[in-house]
Amino acid sequence: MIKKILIKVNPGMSDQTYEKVTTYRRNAFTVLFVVLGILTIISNSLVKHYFIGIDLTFLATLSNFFFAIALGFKLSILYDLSHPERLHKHKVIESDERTQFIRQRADALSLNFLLLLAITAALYGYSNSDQGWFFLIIPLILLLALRASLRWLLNQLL
Amino acid sequence: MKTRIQELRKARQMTQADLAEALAVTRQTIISLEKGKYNASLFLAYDIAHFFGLSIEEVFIFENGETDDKKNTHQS
Repeated sequence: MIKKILIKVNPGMSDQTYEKVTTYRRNAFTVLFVVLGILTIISNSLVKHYFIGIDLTFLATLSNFFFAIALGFKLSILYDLSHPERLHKHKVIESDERTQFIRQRADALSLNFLLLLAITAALYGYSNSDQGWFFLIIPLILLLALRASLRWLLNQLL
Repeated sequence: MKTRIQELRKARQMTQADLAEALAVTRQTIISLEKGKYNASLFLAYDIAHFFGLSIEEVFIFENGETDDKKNTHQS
């Protein structure tokens, strides 16, 4: 299953094969995010029942966020399957060696930023007893969401 | 590294988009190759040369400076 998800899109791959690969991959991510959303709801209800007695806004928002991502993946599959020319364009972009090179650089850069933010969050969290450090995780999530923008930017610059 | 991609493409009256479609790469890759901003891998270089019916050396031209630099790097 992992092999199927991580399969590399090589130049020369047919559109039909790419369609199968990308559908499988996105279905797997949909399931993953639905499971994450359910787990977040369960953890929120457990915390509410046993510890605090109130809803944790962050966890409630996070579960909605996971469900929205899952829905986005499912809708993107349906949209791409009804637009084969878009799927072909995606295949070309994904198998393009220069794009792959740029993606690798963007990923490496994102990882550096993530590490820096994670270290800052951890240090701040340890040195302060309040719960404010919790919100430093938000930039980490934002950075992950902005990765696509970073790829686009590098694509223009390089 | 200099390339003759632009010259060969224009001789065949093809657009960058046409060539990109034929080689299954993005148009931006063709632009970068033509401008010399990106060096193609051996696989892509072979594909391009094969498409134009020429050898790799006829499409991609190494400049003396580049090979000298590489020799110096290997020696040091």
